[in-house]
Order: sequence, then C-alpha cells, then structure tokens
Amino acid sequence: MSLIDEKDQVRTEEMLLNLGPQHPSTHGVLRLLVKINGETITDVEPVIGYLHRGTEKLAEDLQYTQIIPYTDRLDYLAAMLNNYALCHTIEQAMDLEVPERAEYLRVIVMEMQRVASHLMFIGAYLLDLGAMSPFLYVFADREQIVQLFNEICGARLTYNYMRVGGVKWDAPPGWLEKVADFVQYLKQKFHMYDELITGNEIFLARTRGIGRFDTETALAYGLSGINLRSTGYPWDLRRKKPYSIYDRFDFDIPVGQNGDCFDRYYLHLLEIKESLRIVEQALKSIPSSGPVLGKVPKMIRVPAGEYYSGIEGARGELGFYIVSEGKDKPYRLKIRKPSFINLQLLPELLRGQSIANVIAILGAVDIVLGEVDA
Amino acid sequence: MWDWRSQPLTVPSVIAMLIGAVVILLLALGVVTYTIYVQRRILGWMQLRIGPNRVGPLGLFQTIADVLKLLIKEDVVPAKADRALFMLAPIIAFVPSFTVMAVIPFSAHNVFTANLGIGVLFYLALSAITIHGVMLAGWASNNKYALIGGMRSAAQMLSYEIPLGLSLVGVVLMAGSLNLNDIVLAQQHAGLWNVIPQILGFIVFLIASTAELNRTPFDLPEAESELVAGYHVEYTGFRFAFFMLTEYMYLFAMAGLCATLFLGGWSGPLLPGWLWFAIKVFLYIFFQFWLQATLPRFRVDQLMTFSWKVLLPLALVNLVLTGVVKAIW
Amino acid sequence: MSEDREHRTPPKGPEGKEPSVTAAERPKPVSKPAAASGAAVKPAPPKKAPPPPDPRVEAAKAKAEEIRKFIDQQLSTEAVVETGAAHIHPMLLIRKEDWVAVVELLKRSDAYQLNYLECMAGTDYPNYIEVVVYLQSTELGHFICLKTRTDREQAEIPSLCAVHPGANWEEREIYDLLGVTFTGHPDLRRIMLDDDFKGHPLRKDYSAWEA
Repeated sequence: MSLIDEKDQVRTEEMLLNLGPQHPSTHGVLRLLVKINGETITDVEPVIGYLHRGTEKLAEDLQYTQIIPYTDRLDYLAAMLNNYALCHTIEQAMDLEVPERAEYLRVIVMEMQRVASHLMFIGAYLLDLGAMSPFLYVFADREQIVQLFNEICGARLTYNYMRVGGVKWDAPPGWLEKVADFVQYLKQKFHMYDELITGNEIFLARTRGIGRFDTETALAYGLSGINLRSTGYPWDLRRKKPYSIYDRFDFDIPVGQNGDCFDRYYLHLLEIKESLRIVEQALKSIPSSGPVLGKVPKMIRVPAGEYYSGIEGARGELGFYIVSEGKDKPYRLKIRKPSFINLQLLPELLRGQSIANVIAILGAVDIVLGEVDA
Repeated sequence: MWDWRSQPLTVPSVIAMLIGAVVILLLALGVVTYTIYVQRRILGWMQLRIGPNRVGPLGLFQTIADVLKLLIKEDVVPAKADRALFMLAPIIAFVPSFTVMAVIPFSAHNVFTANLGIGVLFYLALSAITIHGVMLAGWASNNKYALIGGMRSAAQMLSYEIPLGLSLVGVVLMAGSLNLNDIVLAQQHAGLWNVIPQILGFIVFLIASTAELNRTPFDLPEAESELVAGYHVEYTGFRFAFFMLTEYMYLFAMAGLCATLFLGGWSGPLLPGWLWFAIKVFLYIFFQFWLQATLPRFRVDQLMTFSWKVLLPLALVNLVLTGVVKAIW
Repeated sequence: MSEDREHRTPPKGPEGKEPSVTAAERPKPVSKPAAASGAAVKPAPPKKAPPPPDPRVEAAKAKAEEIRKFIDQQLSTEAVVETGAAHIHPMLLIRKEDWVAVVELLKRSDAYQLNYLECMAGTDYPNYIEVVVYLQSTELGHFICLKTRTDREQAEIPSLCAVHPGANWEEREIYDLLGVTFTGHPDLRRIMLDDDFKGHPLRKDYSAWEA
C-alpha cells in the first residue's frame, strides 16, 4: 500500500470534524459539522436547537407582561434590548403613550446594554483569536454596567426591567450621576482598547480580508446590524425607522468598508462610542422627575390584529410579530431573531476557507445561542 | 572546572552521576512547579485579577495541589486509541526535555553539567525528539483534534527548528566552540554579552524559541479555542501531567539556553553565578508570560510563512554578517 | 371581493364561511385575517362602536390596493386574493400558487424593490395555516406584509429560498414547528427539534402528551 498514486499525488480524504456543541469557541451550544480536506473547508453544516426552549410556544400561554422575563433569556447579553423590543411592539399595537422620563431611562439602559454587549463581543472575539487578557479587561468594564443595572432593577443578567408603557423602577437617587461617571470612565478606556487591539499586527493579519461578503449578499440573506453595516450599508433602524426618542439624539452610524471580520470588530468598537454619545445626551435632557409608567390598563389586551415592529438590537434587527385575538395572551408570537438569521450565512462564508479561519469568522458573526435557538 | 568525562568510570562516580541526575530532576521539578505558580500570578496581575492565593501562604502550594490532583486522577485510555503508542508518547516527549538539562551550565562550578563539546547540537538534537512524542500522542489518541494539533505541532516545531538552529550558529561562531561552558567563558572573556553583537540572532532566537515552546502567539498546537487542547486532548491524570511537565521543562531549558548563549550565562558582577543565572532565566520566562498576556494567536499558514520567509532569511543574514565580521577582525 | 372567493384554494368545509367574516370585519382598523381567526376560534368579545379610522391604516390600505393593481398588471389578476392592512402596514394575501412569483416580482420591480426579507412567520389558524413575510425595500423605504395560506392537513407552500436565500432557515423553522412543507426548498429538515421528533409544537392542536 502506497500513499502515492501513479500521478505522484498524495491521496487525500475528506475528514468530518465535529465542532461542538461543547466547544470553547462556539459561544454556547452551536454545533458545526465541518468537512475538511487537509486544512481547507469544503462544507459546513450548522446544527442548532440545543438550547431550544420553545419561547414562542410558551408565550402563547402567557399574559403579555409575563412574557417579558422570557425575552431576557433570548439574547442574554442584551436583555434590556429584548425587553424593549417586546414592549415596543405591544405599545405600537395599543397606541400607548410612554412618559418622557421612562423613554429616557429606556434609552439610557438600552444604550448601556449595547455597550455591555459590544464589549463582551470584543472580549470574546479576542479570546477566540487566542488573546486572553482583553476578555478579562472587558469583563471589568462590563461589570460596572452590570452593577448599575443591578441598582436600577435588581438583577445582573436577566433584568425584566421594561414594562408595557414604561419601566418598572425609577432610577434610584444618584444613579444617573453614576452613569455619567461611567460614561466618562469608558470614554478614556476606549482609547486603550483601540490602541491595544486595533493596532495589533497579528490581529490585523487574522481579520483583514477574512470572511468577506458584500451588501447584496447581506441583504439577500436578511442580515442586519453590524453584519450588514460592515459592508458599507448604513442600515440602522434607530435612524431608518426611528423608534422611542432616538430622533432627538445626535449620533452617527459607523459603516465598514470591506465587509470583513476586521470591519465587524471595529464597528463594535465605534458603536460603543456612539452609544456613549447617546447616553451622554440623554443624561443631559432627561426630565428630573415624572412618572415612569404610563397609563396602562391593569390587564393588557392587545387589540385583535397582527403587529410587527423591529428595533436595532445589539446583534441586528430584533423584531416581534404578534397575532392577537384581543385577549390578554397572544395568539401567536414570533421573534425575528437577528442571530438566527445572521448565522445562515456562515456556511457560505466558510466554504473554501482554511480551518484556522473558522473561529475568526464565526466569532465575528456575533451570535448568541440563546437567541438562535430561542 | 568539573568534568565528568575526565573521571574514571568507577562505582562511586556512577553513583555520583545518578545523584547528580536526581538533584537536577528535583531542581527542575521545583522550578517547573513555581514557574507555573508565577505564571498564574503574573497573568492574574496583568489581567486585573488575583490568581491563586488560597492553597498555602500566597497560594504557594497551588501547583503542588494541582499535581497531586493529577496524580490521583483516573488514568483513562480511550478504547479506540492505539494503546501502546498512547502510553509511550508522554515518555518520549518528556525524557528529552529532561535530558537537555545535562548541558546547561547552571553556575560557575557547574558540578551537574555534562561538559559536552557539542552542547548546542546536543540540545537541538534531543529537543527534536520531543516532536515525535507530540505527534505520536496526536496520532495514538484517535481523535481528530488531537491529530490536527499533533500535526500542526510537528510542522511548526520542524519549521522553527531551522531559524532557531541558524540563530545559534552566530553565537557559536563568536565563541568558536559548541560547548556551552566555553560560550559563557568567551562572553566573560570578551566582557560583552552576546546579546549586543548578536542582536539580530537574539531576536530570531527569541521568536523561534517561542514557537518551539508552542507559546503565545505560536500556541496553535493547543489552541484552546480552535482545537480544544490539541494533541493532549485525550490525556488525563498522570500522562497529561507529563505533557505539561515537558512543556514547562522546555521553558526552563530554553530560558537556560537563552541565558547561556546570549546573556552571559552565570557570569555577572557581584552576585554569585547561580543567582545571575536564575535572574536571566526568570527574565526570559517572564517575557514569555508577558507575551502570553498580550498577543493573540497566529494563523497556521501565517505561522509557516513567517518562519520561512522572514525568520530564515534574517537568521542567514545574521550568520553571514557574523562570519564576515569575524573574518575581518 | 366576490372574485376573491372564487379564486381561493378549493373550499374545505368550514373554510367557506371565512371570507364573509372577513368582510364583516372590514371597517375595523385592524387586519382582517387575524380578526377573522379570532372570530373563528372563539367568539371575540363584543366590540363597541368602531373608533374613527386611523389615517395610517387608511394609507396602508390604499397602498395595498395600489400594489395589487401593480401585481394584477404584471402577473395575473388572480394572484392577489385580498388586500388590507396589517396594523399600519399594507397587507396583501397572495394565492399560494403565485407566492414565489409575486415575491420575486416585487423584489425585481423598479417601483417597489422589496429586496429585504425582514420577518417570516407562520401561524396556525383553525382552518388554515398562514405564512407571513414582511418585506422591506432598503432603498425606497416601502414596508409591506405579504401572506399566503395553505390547508392544514396537507400544508404545502412553495419555497422562497430561490428569491430570498435568507428564507432558508425561517422556512425550516416553520416546517419544524408548524409542519408546512416548502416545495422546492433545498434542505428541508427539522432545525430546532430532533429529527425524530413527532408532531409540530406550534400547531394549536399539538399536545406534548399525545405525541
């Protein structure tokens, strides 16, 4: 038996590599069946559903307010945004007015949440690429946000803070000042991250030009959020379909140039900056007092009909589609899960790449399995 | 200068050699134990956390506790593994890592050093054997991650062996000897550590040795986030401990080599030789941990390109320069 | 609307009465099909006098009519079964045979350019299963809701994958949880649940104990 055939070519065989569901870099319980030929990927099949809890089915038996804690568990890195997306859809459906102070508090916590989530992305992504320290650095900063959230709603991860028509708790005394301090603190830290990571040659070599796709592909696959913006397309729902009070703030939508992994990383960093800008402005103009929960009926009944509205979540467009019969429970609740939709492009991105790029590309797509599997 | 080879081979001298080996083994084990402890403390300090501080005062017994835990763990051999090779691999990997200690001069009186005329070659040749252990471990585990890790490891170590070897040749040219003791003496005699005239070689050595040690940013063989743990993913307990031991033993040996070749070994003013040696070794080890806390990981193809297209030409340039300068002088 | 009735999928027993309910609900500023289902599942709570029509809803309805005219012109007059508003967005109910053609037409047409599939959902109603897509034109800003219906027993809808590759997993999810077969789908397998899972949990008659 010789490994060399007549044409003097080494006979090779495709190998099926099973990545996950227990794998340090799949950010949860994603399983990838990777077919590799040598070190080149010939095909990838993502297998999901290991964290499927049937949120949509469960929601059919829950009153609207009771669904809110379930949304916390979708994208558990951005629970505030999930909370809001659901409340927003219900408020749209019921034409509810939200008090000013509540709107501002919402924007503050949402943007802080976006910062926390993006920080987490940066840390986890660098960890995927083999750098351990940034992960711990961002955790130290994220911890401060988590502490602030803990003060305002008593939870560190699953906040259950928003309510239909407002928020559950007003900010405790001194909280807004703490947020302002934190914003200043992170602004300084921001440069450190930028210098430490963005300028690192090894990091650049591993992310520049890797996992590229263009706007057309992104739109065809329904990608949203940073994945879409990294291709240079300024699609941000906070601007394109303004909700809440985002039309009052001055902020930019950073877009990428090449649609590669580096752009996706860098946009996370830039968006942190923009979010901090929004928080700063919100802190300046928030009414000093006032109700935080609007006039909402005791029992929330969404009028019969079907409603869809999406917001700019941390990972893309997070939307809720509700079919109501006019009862206190939805007839059908469907979640437009940005991670789920963004993940679809992964096989396309990975085909033909080196196995060493799997983690770099997967990490940059930025998924949270709690949301993918819902 | 003590020289084992000049002693007649009698019963007492054999016993003395054995005792010498055991002493070195214990010393090396002690160094490895506290290297791991220091690594965790330094990484903790650099990463805004504390590091081990529970077992014993300041957590000094943490590594000992870890080793004890590994020793009493169940020894699992996967059912589909190639049993004989699987058990042999850690030994093949470990033995050379300890044997290379023989040529490293720890102090001016280096009682425990085999004063080998081919010290540098001996080191390179033996350390290459470890690659077999690593590859066999990857192969015998019958695990795809282990296999990929083992193969990567072999490819990487082989590619970096060449710039590493070439970077040493410059030093050898300077001293005119392959004997590590002679190299130290030559530096002492010249009053200048090799790091200055051989700065280019030193840089190549530093990078290539990092890759040889499979440390960040060249830690691809055990890339946690890609290959879970690389070639030793299926190993448990004692056998796993052997791989870890090999790794840190080489770290110590490589630090010793670096100190000897470029930093003047045990030579230095005021302080005793062994302390100078320890300081220089620690500097190298600290540098490795510093890298580990700072850099992300190379990609496997970039790694190869870097070795062949950057390091190798640099090492050759250094070699030619050294030769020319030496000839003119 | 009488035309529409003729072009519906072959009427099954209880489904026949459905359009008339829809017609009765017409003046309300909410979408009809959902209201219809409400009426069909259990009698909806008696409504008071309808509130004054919301201008946004009226605009949406007008726009839906306009799109219908466009589709009638370009494709066939039978493709659109019904128009209305899904909350404040134009809604068109499409015959399932023309489902892919309509979505493709609206994607390619210069006037609408609905190139972005924003949301896709399936809902189990007592007499039919409805699949909804929300389409967005990222350039022109149009945002409309298209839906199609299929029989519950032999749920089958042509797949949108060829037009919007992003529908791939959404359709797999609907297949998994609602049991709708998407014909022409490249890779129709369960996505959330095990391959040997019995039943489709999002159907209203699903019971974890019987499966």
